[in-house]
Amino acid sequence: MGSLIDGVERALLGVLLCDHVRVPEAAHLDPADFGTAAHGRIFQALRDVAGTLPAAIGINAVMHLVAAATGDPAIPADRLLALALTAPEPRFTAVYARMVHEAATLAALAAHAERDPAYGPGPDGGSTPSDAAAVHRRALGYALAAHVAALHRPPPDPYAMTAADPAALTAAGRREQEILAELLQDRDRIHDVRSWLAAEAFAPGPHRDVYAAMAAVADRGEPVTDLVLAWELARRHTFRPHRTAPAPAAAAAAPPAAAHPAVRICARVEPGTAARLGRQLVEENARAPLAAAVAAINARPRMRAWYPSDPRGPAAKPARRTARGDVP
Amino acid sequence: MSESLPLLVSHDFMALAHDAGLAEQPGPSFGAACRYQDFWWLAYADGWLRVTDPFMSTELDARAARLRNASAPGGT
Repeated sequence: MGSLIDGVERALLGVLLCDHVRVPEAAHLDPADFGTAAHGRIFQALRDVAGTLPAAIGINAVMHLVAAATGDPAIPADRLLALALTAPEPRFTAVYARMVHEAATLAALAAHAERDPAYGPGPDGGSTPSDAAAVHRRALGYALAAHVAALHRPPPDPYAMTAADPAALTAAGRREQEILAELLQDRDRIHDVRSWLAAEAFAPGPHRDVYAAMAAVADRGEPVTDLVLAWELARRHTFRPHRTAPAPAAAAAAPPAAAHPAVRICARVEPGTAARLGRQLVEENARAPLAAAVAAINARPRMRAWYPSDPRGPAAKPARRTARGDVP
Repeated sequence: MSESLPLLVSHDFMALAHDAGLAEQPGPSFGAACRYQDFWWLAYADGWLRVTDPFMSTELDARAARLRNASAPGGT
């Protein structure tokens, strides 16, 4: 499996090859922004050729013209056609272009940090430096390296992350899994539940991570495609590993996950499952603190009732004086 | 001012600053860096690190400007 950034670059080039009139949507990119030199050459050729092509031109002609413009015999038209045939929807070109841009920015910063020994582990091989500025520089260097490393790993797979054997999950875990099954199968459903189903309704773990990533992408108004979701998951894992609780014991004990993603993808899920089970999840999450509050109230000592009569009895009642001042 | 700014802040702090409109990302899907109090900050596992390196700041400025121009109406 290729790396995340390789997939993003291939997606961008694929949509541009399919629909060359969209090349201006990636005009802020430079061929040097691509991590793979061949991808940069294809992008350069696309930029050179796209402006001269009529909007209505056969895809094979585009492939041959772009392949010729690269001037690289290792980039034949067939290779470009393969990119185009595996491309995602062209209308998301700007999103993929932004991803390539972000990756290039991080790579440029990381390259600078690598060149500067102040960002490295130091001549002693990594002991903690004494001054705060040096500690800070080293942390920056590590953070940049982590970002770039995440981009060069295979993309996180939301199906594998939610593929624990249902029999090994709690009832709440199975409900979460059903919700995510529908949201992953029908990505537009996230908009039905996003406004009222918070990520915190899910137990800490992979289910919450996948839902939070889908919600974040939807909140940005971006498409919840596999690639965009993988990008968001990778970013969250790099930025906030401490927020991701360790996998529950049940998930850890599940059979190898490789068999399960297909089950989750192919499992028939009733439309509206996410909304129905999401409501149950919210209700249950609200019920637990309410029950705890009621129990706390009941556990308090009861207030003693107040009676209007004097506990000392009628004898304690003060004598009423007459107008003359004597007691009758 | 930079003397009074910490070298790192928590994720929650930056999230609050972002919600208050005090921190800004270069682009909607660009979550690794943000601009706050005239400095660039870089996300890492435990929070956000202030970018104190002039080269990195200049690089981020230039790339953010490219992204802004691309996103602006009439830009590409």
